[in-house]
Amino acid sequence: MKTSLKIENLVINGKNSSGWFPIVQDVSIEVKPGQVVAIIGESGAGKTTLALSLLSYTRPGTRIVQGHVYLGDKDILAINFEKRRQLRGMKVAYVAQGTAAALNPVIRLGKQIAECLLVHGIGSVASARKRTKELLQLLDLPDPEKFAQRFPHQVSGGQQQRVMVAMAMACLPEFLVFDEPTTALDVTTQIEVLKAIKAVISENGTGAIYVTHDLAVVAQVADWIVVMHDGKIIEEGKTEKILNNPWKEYTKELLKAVRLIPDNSEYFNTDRQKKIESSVPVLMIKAIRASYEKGSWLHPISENQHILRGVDFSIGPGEVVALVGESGSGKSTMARVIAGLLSPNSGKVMFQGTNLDPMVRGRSLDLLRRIQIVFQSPDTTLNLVKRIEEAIGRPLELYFKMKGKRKRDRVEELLKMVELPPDYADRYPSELSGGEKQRIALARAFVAKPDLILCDEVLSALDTVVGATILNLLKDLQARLGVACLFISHDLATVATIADRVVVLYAGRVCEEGSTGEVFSPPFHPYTALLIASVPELRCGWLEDVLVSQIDVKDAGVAPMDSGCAFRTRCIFYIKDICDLQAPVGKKNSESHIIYCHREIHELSAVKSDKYKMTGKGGYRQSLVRRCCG
Amino acid sequence: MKQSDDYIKQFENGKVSRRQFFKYMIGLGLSIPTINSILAAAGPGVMASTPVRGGRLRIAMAGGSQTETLDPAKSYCYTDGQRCQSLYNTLIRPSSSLTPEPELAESWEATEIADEWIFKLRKGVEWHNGRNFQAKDVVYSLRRILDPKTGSGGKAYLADVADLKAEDSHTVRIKLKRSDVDFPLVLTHGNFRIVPDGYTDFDNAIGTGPFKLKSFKPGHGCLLERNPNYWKSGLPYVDEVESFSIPDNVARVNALLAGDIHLLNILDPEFTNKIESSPGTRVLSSPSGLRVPFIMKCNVPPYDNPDVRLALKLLMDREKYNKIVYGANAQIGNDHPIAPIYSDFCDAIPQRQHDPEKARFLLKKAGVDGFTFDLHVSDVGIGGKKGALVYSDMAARAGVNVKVIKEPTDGFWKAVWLKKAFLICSWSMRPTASMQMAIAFTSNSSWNDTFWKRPDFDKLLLEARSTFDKKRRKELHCELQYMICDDGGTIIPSFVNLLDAASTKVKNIILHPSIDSGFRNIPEACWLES
Amino acid sequence: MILLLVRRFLLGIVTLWVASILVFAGTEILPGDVASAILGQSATPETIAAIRQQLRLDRPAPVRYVVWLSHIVRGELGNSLTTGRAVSGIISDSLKNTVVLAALTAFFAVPLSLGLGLLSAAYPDSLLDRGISISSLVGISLPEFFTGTLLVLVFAVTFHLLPAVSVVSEFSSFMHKFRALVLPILTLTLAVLAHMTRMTRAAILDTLGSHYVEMAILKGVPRSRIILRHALPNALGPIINVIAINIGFLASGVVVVESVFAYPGLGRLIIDAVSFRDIPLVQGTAMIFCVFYIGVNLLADLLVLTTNPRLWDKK
Repeated sequence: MKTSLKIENLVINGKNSSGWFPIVQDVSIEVKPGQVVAIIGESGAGKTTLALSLLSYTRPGTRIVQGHVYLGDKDILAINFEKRRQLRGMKVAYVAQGTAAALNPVIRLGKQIAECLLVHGIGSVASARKRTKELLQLLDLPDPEKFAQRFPHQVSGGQQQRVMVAMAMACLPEFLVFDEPTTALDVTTQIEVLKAIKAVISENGTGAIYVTHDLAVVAQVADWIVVMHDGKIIEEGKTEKILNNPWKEYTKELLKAVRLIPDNSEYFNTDRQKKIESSVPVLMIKAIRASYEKGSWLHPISENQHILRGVDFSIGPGEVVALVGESGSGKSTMARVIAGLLSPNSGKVMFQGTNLDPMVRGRSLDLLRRIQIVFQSPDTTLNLVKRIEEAIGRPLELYFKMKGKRKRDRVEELLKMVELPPDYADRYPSELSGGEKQRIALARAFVAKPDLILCDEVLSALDTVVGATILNLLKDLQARLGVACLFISHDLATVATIADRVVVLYAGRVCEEGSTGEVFSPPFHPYTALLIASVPELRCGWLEDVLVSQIDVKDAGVAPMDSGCAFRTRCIFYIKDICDLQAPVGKKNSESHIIYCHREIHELSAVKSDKYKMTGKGGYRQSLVRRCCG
Repeated sequence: MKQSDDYIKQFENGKVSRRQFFKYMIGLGLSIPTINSILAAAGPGVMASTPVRGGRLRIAMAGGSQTETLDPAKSYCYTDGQRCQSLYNTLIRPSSSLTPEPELAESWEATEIADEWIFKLRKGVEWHNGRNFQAKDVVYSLRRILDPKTGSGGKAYLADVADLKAEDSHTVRIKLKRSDVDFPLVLTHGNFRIVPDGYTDFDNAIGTGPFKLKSFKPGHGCLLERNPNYWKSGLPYVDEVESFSIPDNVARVNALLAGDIHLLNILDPEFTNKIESSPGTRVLSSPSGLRVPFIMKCNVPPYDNPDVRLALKLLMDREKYNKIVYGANAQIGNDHPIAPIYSDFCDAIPQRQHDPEKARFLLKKAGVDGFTFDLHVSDVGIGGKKGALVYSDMAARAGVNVKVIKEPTDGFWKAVWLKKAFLICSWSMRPTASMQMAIAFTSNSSWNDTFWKRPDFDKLLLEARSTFDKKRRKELHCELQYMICDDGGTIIPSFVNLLDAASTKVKNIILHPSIDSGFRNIPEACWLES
Repeated sequence: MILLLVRRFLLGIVTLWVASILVFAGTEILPGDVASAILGQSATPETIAAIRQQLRLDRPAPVRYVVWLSHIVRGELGNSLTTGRAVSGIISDSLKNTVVLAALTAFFAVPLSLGLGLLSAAYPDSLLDRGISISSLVGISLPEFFTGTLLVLVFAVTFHLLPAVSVVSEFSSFMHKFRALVLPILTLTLAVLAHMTRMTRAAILDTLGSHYVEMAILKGVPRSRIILRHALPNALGPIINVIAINIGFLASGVVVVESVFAYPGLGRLIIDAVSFRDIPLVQGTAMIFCVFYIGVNLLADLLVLTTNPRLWDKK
């Protein structure tokens, strides 16, 4: 009765300024009923284009040149418009990436789910509403009645993604197509969504295609992996086989680039740290409070409108300090305050022992040179109509009054430093890849001979393999030039490989601070423990292991509180009344390691470093964990 | 005259336009006043086939706004004038040859030197409210004009009135400060329409005229209904007259072409062909004394030199000017303010000809060869702007540089007129030749816009005003016209015909070359073809 | 959201205040005065002096402004200089006419432009789309006095279907009023249609390119429903703003159209008032236009707020 989905010799072309070129080249894949096939590859590999063709859909500017997509024995590429419409959502459903943009902002969530049923003529409005409620319940969304009345912006990213899954599941389709459904999410939220996806797949035995670049995620959901590169299939096989024993060089490279948290604490270098602590810090953050709201005497800014609520930390000369936390924790706001783009409401930013003007326009040219910033997306900071020579040369002129040949020579020298050929100086940003652009951004930051570099999520927009090379370059340059660095990231694995010290932020407060080795080993702050435990591991069964632990995935996401400990609602160590009313004070585990928690250090030591397994509240439905790795 | 009778018939039926009719009649060797008197004499009786009663006559006027009023003392725009004409009567009205004709005054007589006048009033005339018309009404109406608080524009015309009183219930005696044989004509002015004694509520006007007020809203419209007790028995024919303003020239013409209205005033000369060629509409063109003159300030060099003034007059090719600017809907002027329709028009003065050679010679002689004459012009005055360009072109052909400077219409009278040395303005027609000359050419007139001051002229004008002998007076007026023509600071290329238009459904249209727009009298005697 | 509305409202008041300064200053610098404008050639120095005194023009401008403003906020627009009647009374009739004209135009033009815009967006680059695009462009590029006159020539002068002028008064019948308004409404509609149609089309096409519309397609939502339920509500923000601008424009558009059709509305009134230098009347009418324009934009902001749930939670 169950049919399979079969792609045969599919070729899809895309259009750019110079004409049509192939995006997907001669791809054939078969998905059996109930099977989960993962398509992995880096951006530009044609994954999404391929995924959309399974719904007989091509984006404007792409077209199917040849091949077939069979659902059962029917070629869904050859059916008419109305048949196609009936197919979509009914037989094959799609779960999109970036749900914030994929949900209609002005339609209530319940209606968006119910619409899937109504447009396919399934049931009445009342029955659709009932089914919507069931779906919301199935996906562990809180208070379905109320939740259905909400608009997309009123719920968290993880909840949005689960609504997306609910929409896809509404008509009980035979196949689901997941397109990077967890890429934009925090690790903690990712678990919640992965759990939901596993739940719906196993509940109905639905076949699925799961498109992602994240091998660790693939390990948790897929039975079969297809590796794509430049529109072609490079290698395919059972999940375990691909993960443990890949044939092709490209696959090996992909696997190598996956960053994991080292489980060996010896890995962390503690020597350097000792040396650093004795000298005057490059940057000192003292009791910074900041908000994007503008208060007035009539309406002062309330406590939970503050993004930063009293943050203290410092960076020594040549030290790399990482600022970590989920989205909403205040990492980027901290960067904006240091950069002088946002004036704090109170507190001090001190640079090399002197007070820093809160706004950038009040800072001297020399100060501006001493603090450089590298952003997540180099596209927003590179002027698209200026050559690279100018992009790097401008700071040279500005700070060092260099001109002509001297400038050119220095530009070429810097290009060499970031491992790019000297003739790149004559290129325009549009001629460069994302990784190359980020190299230029690094070169531009280092050219100013700064004392401090702020790196705000510099790897997030890059593919894993490219990201790994940039990370190595950054590490290398930092070590060579001895620049202090504030490395802001949500990715704990990356942080672990580069930082000397780590500051963990939650809801605008520091909850743990210490050397990298100390932060990544017990005793943990419960939040740090949760973050570490949520980073997927490159092995099958990890998700199931985590799910039986007691990470509460229902309410993942940062929720600021007016008083008490902000993390208390998600905390497994929650102490009634105390955590509700009092802000935790710092407890020293060592001279450099401070944990802000009401629990004693020895209580926190009970949390295991690797598994975050605690006895108590109990695990999740075993049925969810039933299948892994085929 | 059999032929011309036929032609009159054709004209009356709308088959022949007024312009064609005049052309034809002039072709027969008749002068314009004569033609007009033929038409007037033809009157309702002759021109009528069979009068039809009833219907609503719809009139669109060019002027009109919130300032519209039914107070005749304050009426100054066409719209007001048209309505007042239907609501009230004057003591005397101008005939088609601009002689005084009895209206509310049945007869009048003056002293030897014309400084005291006695008017016998018509008996049995009833106000719209039923009261009888009497001498006290006349005294009240004229005293209102003289009262500065009323703010009537007509006050200046009565400047010579020394005393005013009712002799008995139907006799009025008016004493003048100095002689004026033309005084009865002065009383034809629209501001001097007679209102009931003591009356002030002009939003609910009461008059003796052919129509009674039904409804009036300034700026929106006015509806009049037939006065069944009108003292001219049998008149009027139409039941109602609705009038409103359509300020836009094109819109007004379109409304007539579309059949929305029966009559319009102030027809842009551009549209005469369109109106004439369309079935069901016709042009009403009546010669008048309206002029759009070129004004030179005679106290400012180089215009203080008579040779320069003459040269500028000689540069004007009048035939061509009339044709281009007015489409021949104008009478040729001779640089003096008296139009051919006045009985005192002097035909003995030779018509000034186009003579660029002599003009250039005179300018050279005056030492202003190569001078640039700045000519200021605005939309004040029909065809003014076009005329300025035409004249500039004529001058250029003669090698004289006339630079046209366009001024805003708004504020023209304040900022340009009497200020700039060479300009084009507009002068409306005055009831008498004497007044026409007095107001703009006597030394002490504040409106002497040419600043041409000749004591001999002033003296002669005064003499003419007290001369009853018509022949002698005409001689004196002729002398005055010659002085202005010869030496004055004004170029008067033409007298502009009053151009209006009507639907051919409107029958029995009697046109006056009156001081105001020609068709105001139309509602009194016209009827609508059913 | 309440706070946001209050803030917008206060901003509207401030704008109105600034407008009042401009209106006052504008009437100050008009050359000429009421006496010479009314009397034309017949103006004498004594009448002008009398009027100046009556107007208290001898006092300095800021003082007069404050006095004027204090009257305006109490709703006293003063008396007309030329007629002596209360400005509010004069305005009320004309205002009624203009409101009827503008409202009827909006009533037809807004749904029509939305419909045409939706059609264009539903079939982009089709013959229909191009037809709508070209004809609406022609509509917008021709000045109103031209389209107005053209319509009159066709419908009134040539075929005698409709009246050429829209002279309406208390003694015109309802049928007459209705027929009289057809051409002015058509003219104004043509003038505002293009802008709104094109904005609707652009805004819809813009949202049609969004992820949530692609998602709706992939859910199997029919095209008509995608446009009406998914794209339109999201495109409403810019569309409403353009509609507001165009309805605001109607206020100025009526000045021309009222002149072409001799329609006795505010536009005619302000032209007359300016040419007669009837300062209180000019000021009163101009302030009415300002209130109208600011009111329409305020209303648009309000509507945008109600159509965008993302703004509901904002303070």
